[in-house]
Amino acid sequence: MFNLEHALAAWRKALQYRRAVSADDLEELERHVRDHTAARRRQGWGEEAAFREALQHLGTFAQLETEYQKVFWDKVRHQRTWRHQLNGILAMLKNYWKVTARTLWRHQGYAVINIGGLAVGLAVCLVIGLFVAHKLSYDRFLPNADHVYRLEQTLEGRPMAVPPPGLTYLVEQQFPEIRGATVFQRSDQRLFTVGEDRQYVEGVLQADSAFFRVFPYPLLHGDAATALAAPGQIVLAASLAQRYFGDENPLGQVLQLDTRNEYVVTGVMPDVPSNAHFQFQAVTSFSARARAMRYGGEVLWPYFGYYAYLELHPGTDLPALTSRIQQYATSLNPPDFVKERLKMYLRPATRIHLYSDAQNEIGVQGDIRYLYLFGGIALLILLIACTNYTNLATARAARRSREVGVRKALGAWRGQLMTQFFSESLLLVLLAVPLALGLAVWALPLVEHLTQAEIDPQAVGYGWLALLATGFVLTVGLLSGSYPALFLSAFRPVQVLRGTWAPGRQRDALRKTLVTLQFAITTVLLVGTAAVYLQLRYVQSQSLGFEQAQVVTITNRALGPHYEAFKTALLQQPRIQSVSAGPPPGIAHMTSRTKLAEKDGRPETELEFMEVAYDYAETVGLHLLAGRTFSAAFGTDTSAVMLSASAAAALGIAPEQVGEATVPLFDTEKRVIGIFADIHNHALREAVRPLALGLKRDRFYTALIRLQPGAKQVGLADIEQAWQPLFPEHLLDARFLDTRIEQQYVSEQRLAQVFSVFAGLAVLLACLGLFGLAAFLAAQRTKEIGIRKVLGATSAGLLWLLSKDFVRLVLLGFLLGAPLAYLGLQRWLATYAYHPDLGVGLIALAGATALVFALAAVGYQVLRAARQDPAESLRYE
Amino acid sequence: MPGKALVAASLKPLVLSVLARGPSYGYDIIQQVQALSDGKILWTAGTLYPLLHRLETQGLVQTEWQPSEDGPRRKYYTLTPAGEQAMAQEQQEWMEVHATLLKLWQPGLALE
Repeated sequence: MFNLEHALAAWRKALQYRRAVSADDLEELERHVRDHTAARRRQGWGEEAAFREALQHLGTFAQLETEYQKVFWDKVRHQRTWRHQLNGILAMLKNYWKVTARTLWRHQGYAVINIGGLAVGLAVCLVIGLFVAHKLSYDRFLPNADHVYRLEQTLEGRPMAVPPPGLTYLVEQQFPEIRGATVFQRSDQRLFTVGEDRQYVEGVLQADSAFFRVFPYPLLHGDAATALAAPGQIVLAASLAQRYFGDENPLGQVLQLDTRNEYVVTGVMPDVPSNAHFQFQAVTSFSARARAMRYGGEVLWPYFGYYAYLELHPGTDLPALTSRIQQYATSLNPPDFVKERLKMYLRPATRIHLYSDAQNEIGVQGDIRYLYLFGGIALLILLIACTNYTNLATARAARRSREVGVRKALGAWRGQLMTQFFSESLLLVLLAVPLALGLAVWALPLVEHLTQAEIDPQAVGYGWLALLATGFVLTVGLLSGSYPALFLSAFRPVQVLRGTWAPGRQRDALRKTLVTLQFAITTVLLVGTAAVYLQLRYVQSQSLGFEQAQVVTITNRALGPHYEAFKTALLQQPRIQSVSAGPPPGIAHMTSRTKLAEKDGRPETELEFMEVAYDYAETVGLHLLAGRTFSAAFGTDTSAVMLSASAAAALGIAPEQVGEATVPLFDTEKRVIGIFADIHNHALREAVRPLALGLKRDRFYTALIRLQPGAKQVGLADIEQAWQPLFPEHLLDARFLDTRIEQQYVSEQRLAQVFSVFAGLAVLLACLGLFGLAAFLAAQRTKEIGIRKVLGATSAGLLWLLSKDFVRLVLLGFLLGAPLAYLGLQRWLATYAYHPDLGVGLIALAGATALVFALAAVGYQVLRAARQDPAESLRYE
Repeated sequence: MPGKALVAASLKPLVLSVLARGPSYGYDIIQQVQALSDGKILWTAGTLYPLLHRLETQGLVQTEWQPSEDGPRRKYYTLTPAGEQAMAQEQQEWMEVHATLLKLWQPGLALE
C-alpha cells in the first residue's frame, strides 16, 4: 500500500546529502511536491499517481542538482565570502605558527636566546615604563590637580618653596582669581603619645582650616569643613587611626603630641597616595599664634613662612596673575635688599615633584632627568633585544630559504610570506610576554629599592599598563620582525630551490651594523657605570677637612634649655670624648650666609656663618691652623670669630694677625681668634665656601658628641644613660654624622646601582645575541673548518679566523660609543666641583671589558667548531 | 511549446512579472504561468527554484517563510524595489523586440 509520507521520506533522503541543495531548499521542494500532489488529488487522481507526476515535474535528480549547483557557487561567493576568507586566514596562521613552533622546538637554544632576550628586554621596559608612569602620575589623583599652585619666591637668586609669612592672606584677599588658599608647615617627625604607646610619627602637618578645600582628600570620618577649624584638632590618616584606635570610630579621642599639647581627633582621611609630592600621616589645626600670623595682614620680610597652596579658578591667565602678584608684593614695602631681587611665582602642583629646584622643598624630590635617563636606557636595552632577534632570524635565513622557496613555488605571494614572518615574530614576543611579566613582578621590588620610589601600579592605572604592554608587544613584534619579513620574503624560488642562492653581502652588512650598534650601546652603559662608581668612591674617600667618624648628632627641640645639663651628664659617662652643639658640619644644615661689603681694597666677600657651642672644633675634629678655639677661659669669646683658611684668605687676614684682626659680622666687629683648615660643608657637588664660626651660649637644638675611638654601640648606650634622666618624656634619636653625610650621596649610589644593573643586562643581552650568532655562523662554516683542518690549520689559527670578524665589530662599536660616552661623562662630571680625573683610561677599560665578554661569548662556539673532528664535519652531508 | 532557448530567455521576465502582481511561492508561480499560457509553458521545479534563488542573491526578490496547514512551511517570494526596476527594464526590452517583430511581420512593409 502506497504511503505518501514514506515516499516523501525516501525522496528526501536521496536529496538531503547533496551539497548544492540546502535544508531550506529541500523544504521548499517538498512543499512544492506536496502542493502538486494535493492539487492532483483534488482533481480526483490516486495518491501514488499524483505523487509520481509531481516528482516528474521536478525534473531528474541530475538536472535538479546541476541547476542548483549553478546557483550554489553564486551563493557561496555572495554570502560566505568573509567567512571563508577568515577561515583561510586562520588556517594559514595556524600553519605559520605550527611551522614556527616546530622550528623553535628543533632549535631550542635559538628559542631560549630569542625568547629569553626579548623577555628581559620587555621586562626592563615594563618596569621602567611603570617607574616613569608612576613619576608622571604625581599629584594627578587630586580632582583639582590642574588648578592647584604653590606660591613661591626667589630670594637673592635662590628659589624658595615658601613665601614670606603673612603674604598669602593678603594675596588671597586681593585677587578674585584665587578660589581658595591654604598654608601649612610640615614636621619631619613628632612624638605621638596615646596611653602607653609612644612613637615618632613621620610627616605631620600643621595646617589652616582651608587645607581640605585645596587638597580635597575625602574624609572617612568627620567633617572636612570644621575638622581643622579650632586649635587643638587633628586629622589622622586611616592607617595611623587604625594603629591607635583599631576599627572603632576615633572621633573625639585625644592624643598627645610632643609631650605638651593635647589634640582631639576630628577626622580620619585616607592614607596619602605614594604619588603625592608631600607625604604626611596627620594634620593638626593651627595654633592661635599661627592663626594670628596667617591672618594678621602683616608681611614679615625677609623670613620664610609656611608652604602656601592656592586653588585658582579654571581658566585663569597664569602669567598675568603671576606678574600682578609680583607687582602687589613689591608694593607692600619690603626692605630694599628684598625688593631688588624678589620674584614671586606660582608653581603648578603637578610639576613640583619632577621639576622643582626650590630649596626647602616639602617632599622627596624627583628629577625629570632621571626619567629621560632611565627611559633612554630602557629603549637601548629593548633595541639590543630586538636586534638580537633580527640578527638570529637573518642568520638562520639559509635554513629557511628552502621553505620559502617551496611556499613560493606553491603560489604564496610576497605579502603572505611577510605575514608569515611577522606572525612568527609576534608569536615569539607573545611567548616572551608572560616571562617578561614574571620577571617584571619579580624585579619590581628591586627597582623600587634602587630608585627609592614606591611604584604603585594601581596609582598608575591598570588600563594604561595594559595599553603600554600591548604597545610594547606590537612595536617589538613589528620592529624585530620587519627585516626578516622583508628579507626572507624576497628570495627567488628558482635560485633557492636549485641551490644557486648564496648568502648576500647586503644581509651581512645589516647584521654587522646591528652588532656594532649593540656594542656601541654597551660601551656607553659600561662607561656610565664605571664613572658613577668611581665618582662615588672618590667623594666618599675624600677628606672633608674634619673627622666625621665617631661623631653622634642628636636633634631635639627639648634640648634647648637643658643643653648644659645634658653636656655635664654626658661627660660623666666613660666613653664620651667631648660634647658640643651647633650645626653638624658636612651636611649644610642651618647655615646662614652673610655678605661683607667691599672695604679698604678688600673685595666683597660672602661668608657662610654658623653659631656653635664651646668645644665644637674638638668635637667635630677641625684642623686648627693658627690661634685657638672658643674657650670658656676667655669671657670675651661671644664677640670672637673663627675663620676657615679660605675665609681668612678672602678677607686678607694672615695667620700672624690672628688675635688682632677683626671682621664686621652682623653689624659688630668680631675678633678673629683662630683659623682652621677648609671643610667641605656641602656635598662635593659644590665648591668649598669661606666659613666663619661664631660662639653661642644657649638654645641649641642639636648636640654633637664624639665617642671614644672604637666605641660605637657602647657609646650610644652611654648617651642613652645620660639622656633618660633628663628627658624621660622624649625618645632618644641619635645618628652618626658619617652616615648622615653619606646619605647626601644616596642619589649617586642609586644611580650607580641602577646603571650597573642595566649595563649588566645590556652586556648580557648583547653577548647572548653574539653567542647565538656565532653558533650559526660556525655551523655554516663547518665544512670550511673541516677542510682547513685537514690541510693543517691549527685550532688557534681557526679561533682567530672565526672570531676576528666579531672582534672587528666590537671594536668598531666601541669606537662609535666611546666619543658619546666621553661627552656624557664630561657633562656629568661638570656638575661636581670635585671629581677624579676620569677619561680615556676609563673608556678604554669599558671597551676592554666589552671585548672580553664578547670574546667569551664567541669563543665558546668557535672553539667547539674548531675542535670538531674534520672526519665528522666533512661527512655532515 | 517554445524552444529551449526561448524558455530560458523568458524565464526571468515571466517570473518577475508574476511576482509584480503580488507575493507568491514556487508551485503557484508554475501554475499561474501554465494557466496563462494555456499549458504551453510548463517549468520543472529544477528550473524555477534555482532561478528564484539567483534572483534572491542578486537582491531582486526577498523571501519569507510562512507556516502552512500541513507539513513543511511555504517560502514566499516578493519583489524588492530593485526587482521592480529590473521588471520594468525587462518589460521595455521585451516590448522593443516584440514591436520590431510585429513590424517585420506586417504584410506590405517595405524595407528601404
